[in-house]
Amino acid sequence: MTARPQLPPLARFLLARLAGGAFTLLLAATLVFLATNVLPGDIAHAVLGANATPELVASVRADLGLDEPPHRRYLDFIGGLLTGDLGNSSAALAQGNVLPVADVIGTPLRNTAVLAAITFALFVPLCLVLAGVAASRVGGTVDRLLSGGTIAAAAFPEFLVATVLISVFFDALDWLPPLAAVPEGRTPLDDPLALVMPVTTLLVLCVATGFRLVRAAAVEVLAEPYVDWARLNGVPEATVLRRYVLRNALAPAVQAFAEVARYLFGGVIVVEAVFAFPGIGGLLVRGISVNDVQQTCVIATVLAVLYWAINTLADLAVIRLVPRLRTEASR
Amino acid sequence: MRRTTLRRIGVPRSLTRGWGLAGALTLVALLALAVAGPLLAPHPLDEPVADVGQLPGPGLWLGADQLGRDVFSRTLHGGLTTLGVSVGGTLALYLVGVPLGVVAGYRGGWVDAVTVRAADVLLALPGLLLALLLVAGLGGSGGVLLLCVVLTQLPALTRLVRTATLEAGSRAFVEAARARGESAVRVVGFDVLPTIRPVILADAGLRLRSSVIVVAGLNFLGLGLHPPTADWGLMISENRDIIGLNPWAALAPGALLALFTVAANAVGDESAATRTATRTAARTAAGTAAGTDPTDAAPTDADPREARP
Amino acid sequence: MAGELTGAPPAVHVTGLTVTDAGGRPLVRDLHLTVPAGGALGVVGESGSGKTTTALALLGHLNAGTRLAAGRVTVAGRPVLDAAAGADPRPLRGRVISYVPQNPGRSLNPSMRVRDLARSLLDPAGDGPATADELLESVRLPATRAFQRRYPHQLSGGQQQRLAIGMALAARPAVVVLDEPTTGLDVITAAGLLAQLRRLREERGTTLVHIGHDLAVVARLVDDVAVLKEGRLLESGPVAAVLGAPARPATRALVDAVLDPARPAAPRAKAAPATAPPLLQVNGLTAHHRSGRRERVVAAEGIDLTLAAGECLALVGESGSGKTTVLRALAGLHRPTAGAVTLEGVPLAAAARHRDPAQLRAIQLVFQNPAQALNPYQRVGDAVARPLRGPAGLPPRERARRVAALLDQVHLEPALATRLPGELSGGQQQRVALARALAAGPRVLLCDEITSALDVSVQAAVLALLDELRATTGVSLLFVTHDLGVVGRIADRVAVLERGLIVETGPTAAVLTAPRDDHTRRLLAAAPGLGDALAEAAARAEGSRA
Repeated sequence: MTARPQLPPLARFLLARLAGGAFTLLLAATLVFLATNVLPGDIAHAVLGANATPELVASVRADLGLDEPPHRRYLDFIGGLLTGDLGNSSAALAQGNVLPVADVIGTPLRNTAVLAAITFALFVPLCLVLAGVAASRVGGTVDRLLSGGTIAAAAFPEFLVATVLISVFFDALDWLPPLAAVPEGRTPLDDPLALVMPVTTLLVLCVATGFRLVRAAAVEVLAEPYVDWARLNGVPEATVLRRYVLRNALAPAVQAFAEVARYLFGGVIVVEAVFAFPGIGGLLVRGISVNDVQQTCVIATVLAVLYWAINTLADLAVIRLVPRLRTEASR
Repeated sequence: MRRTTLRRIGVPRSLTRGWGLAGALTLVALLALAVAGPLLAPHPLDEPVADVGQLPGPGLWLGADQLGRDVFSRTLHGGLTTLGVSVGGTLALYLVGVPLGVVAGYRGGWVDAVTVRAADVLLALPGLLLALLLVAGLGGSGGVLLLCVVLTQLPALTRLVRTATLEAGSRAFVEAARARGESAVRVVGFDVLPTIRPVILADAGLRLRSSVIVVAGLNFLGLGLHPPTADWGLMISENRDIIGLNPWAALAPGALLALFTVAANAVGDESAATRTATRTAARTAAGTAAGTDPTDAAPTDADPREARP
Repeated sequence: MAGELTGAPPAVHVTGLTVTDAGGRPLVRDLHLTVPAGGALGVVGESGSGKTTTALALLGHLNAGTRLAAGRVTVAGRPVLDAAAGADPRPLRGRVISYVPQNPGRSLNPSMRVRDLARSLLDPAGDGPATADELLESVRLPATRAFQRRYPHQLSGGQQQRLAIGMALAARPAVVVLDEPTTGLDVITAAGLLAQLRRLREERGTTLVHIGHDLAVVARLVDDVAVLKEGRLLESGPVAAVLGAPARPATRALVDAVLDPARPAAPRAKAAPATAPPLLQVNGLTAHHRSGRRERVVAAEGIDLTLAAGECLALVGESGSGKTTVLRALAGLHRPTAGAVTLEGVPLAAAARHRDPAQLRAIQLVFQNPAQALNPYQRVGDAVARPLRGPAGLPPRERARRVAALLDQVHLEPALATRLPGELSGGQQQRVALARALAAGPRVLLCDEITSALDVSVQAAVLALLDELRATTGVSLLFVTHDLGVVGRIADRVAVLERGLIVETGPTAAVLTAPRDDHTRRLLAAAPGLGDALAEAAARAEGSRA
């Protein structure tokens, strides 16, 4: 302990988290590779069709590097990830084109980030207001209606919500476009009307999930002895709500938001597919359906990194917010 | 009376009344429909019987789909795939996850370390992504979908069971059994499993809901079962384009699917709520049962305190 | 009584207070209490007597699900509860009446630093402390910057409680309600806290209302006492008179159940012949606790103990003294780092699972909290039958007969066999736990604070049962406790632990009446028996009159 250079406690904790994260992500990338590369399913056949001559298949397999032993391909893949070389789209290669995956995923990633950011920016205030209203009158009519409604809403698969929205707002009323395609060179924000239904779909499910978690956290804090104690000793009610209730409900609320963010990863994939939104989720699904191994591996790994980053940020925020965890983490 | 019979054969209290009962009955009815449906279908599955997207009429209760096939017959057929895979997958999930979690939590040591690490790795990928990768590698089929159900939820379930087992294992009555030298099997059977049972059951409804969403979602994305299979998720996706012609072609299977997930969610939520309520009630109600031993004061009140923390 | 003479309103005046629960069952019925300004009233009773409900009612607070059915409470002449007219207690809280909780660890906001907590209730206009420094100094807490930057979880239990008291007194309220303020604290810490409360009262003339279940503790702080039972006032008056010479049988029973370390029971066991080999022998037992990842903390060091057949040895110490660790090591639940344990001369394996069945049966552990020691999903009969099952167990019919006999042995109705533990009282649960231990046919019962979660009257009954079991079965007891009164009541010999070391061993009467070690003396001085506390109270009353 004495000889070691003294880092600030939080930095030491962060380093430990980063090291653990790197290890987990390496294993996750391995899992991704195993699932897509070692399992059966041959892109050469998929692209060329059943009638291709054996010679053609062999040459395409050679182009794709499929005749190399799996452990070489694995090392190439991991090495490429580490050096920033994300490889070329397998589907394009099979058709004789060279299309770097790095070029393919940039724009969709940005589009998806826009979609998720808008959803989250609307979700947080909406969720806090609804949960606050319900928790302040636990068991009341408003609380019961909101709680019952969110149980039902949280159970709806997102593609079903999307389908119902389309049938109402496009087919029946014709108020909103059914697709959210973004033309080449434009951003999703150029056509805000097209974003209404994708965002609403995600929002319904985010609020349903988040509401229940935040409400439960608020109810729990309201029942803490220190809240009673503050009131019994004449701490002004505004202070009780601000410094006792809100302050201590923050950490569980952040955990709830992280849970919703995790949910968004799955939700976005489906919603993008439904609305033909040119995001990373839609690209992933299309890549899988044409057996584009390299692209699928890269997108899956990128998503895993983002997922890990969100989890880690949320954990750090919770540790900052809870003094007990903060002092223990720094020990 | 019947309620007590149900309780005696192990039906949780939450399912014998209110929303829990309604949800449980709905689940049973939908499963019955999924199993018996194919026998009741009036028309063949794969042949056009009407114009594309024809609206409902006599003999064609829900109209025709995007290929002119009978939506009613296909809806009756289409539940078995999704619900069968989901329910089967959830059962398999529990058969694997509960023993794994109990062994990790009770045995501790390297078994626990390996289990936790493996769960962490699986949890490093979003659930749907994991399912997509499996489908990408293995292709879409009933067996792969079942595997998806198990693998996407196994880490979370194992961790839940492990945490509950750890907590149960630190209880004084488990320590007492260990101090008596009772075998691990007996302690788990007598003490640990009954203690963690409510935790596991409260979670089951929510797991079933997630299973259905994963399966139907993959089918909807076209990555699971393939046409011309009649399947609710697939039907919604196939008939989205003719929603202007015959909305029922997509909405009828959608409604049944939603009914199932909402019912499963209601059951899960009700079990969780009942569990919290009984725990708090047990703490306060221990008091109302006055002692028959005259030397004992009636235990009580709002202050369950011990001499030391 | 000065208040009445000068005509000022009493500090606390309760008339006809009746509080019911949701089902209409009264928790407090028709209660009348008066505390003069500057007085100190103790409200005592066992659990279920309604004392916490009363304490909260003084602050105008009713717990959720309870209802004010009748009565009126005024503090310094101003109404806080009024069934007829209604009252708003909120403006009075903090300024006129304040509250010190029984569990300061959970009552201090975990996300506020000591400095912010100390500031939160300061009254700049009043004559109380004006700064956090002054407030901390008033309760003898360090006012250093480092201390003020701490969070509540970084304070000891005693420091938390001092802070809570300082905050409650910050705005110089006329009345402070103390709800079991010393529960959960070590006796020496508790004694310091009581001394401080006495000093604060003398300096400022604050009126105190002290709610408690421990008569000896309450008697050391208050002038008058009110005894509650099942929500009713049994009797009230000067503490020395009421508890020294109770008028009601119920009060007498309460007083009689209190155990006095200064008056240990006469040694009753025929001492085992000195030549007989000890039943259980512990040599040089050393055990550690893990703290954090790699650090280890010594929990017990070089413990030597012997236990003769039929003997009761008490192991006494404060929390953290290592007494429970020693017990768990003997039970095979905690692996010691060094030392040997022999049972009738045969060495015992460190882990329970490496001991043979006869050894396992010979040593049985009984836990502090009976509610946690019984599986809530297992019926009483099945719980007691647990040690009778297994390969070497009894056939089912005999098992049932044996369970009935065991329940009878601990004075429980055989009909209770079909109940779940949650349906039993704490005392009954502890009897079931004892019956389960007896089912194994033990030579030694390891008892871990087994009466500390029980009311004193229930404790007395359980201790009597232990005496009886020793007489009928010849079982030996190793009794871990922090309560010297219990030691005097039950033990033949006592070993005093301080920070993992045995500092004194000897016959109970000798150790309790003529302690040789300083730590033993401090323990005894910190927790005087009821008799001494009452004498103190009488002297205080004498002094204030003179």
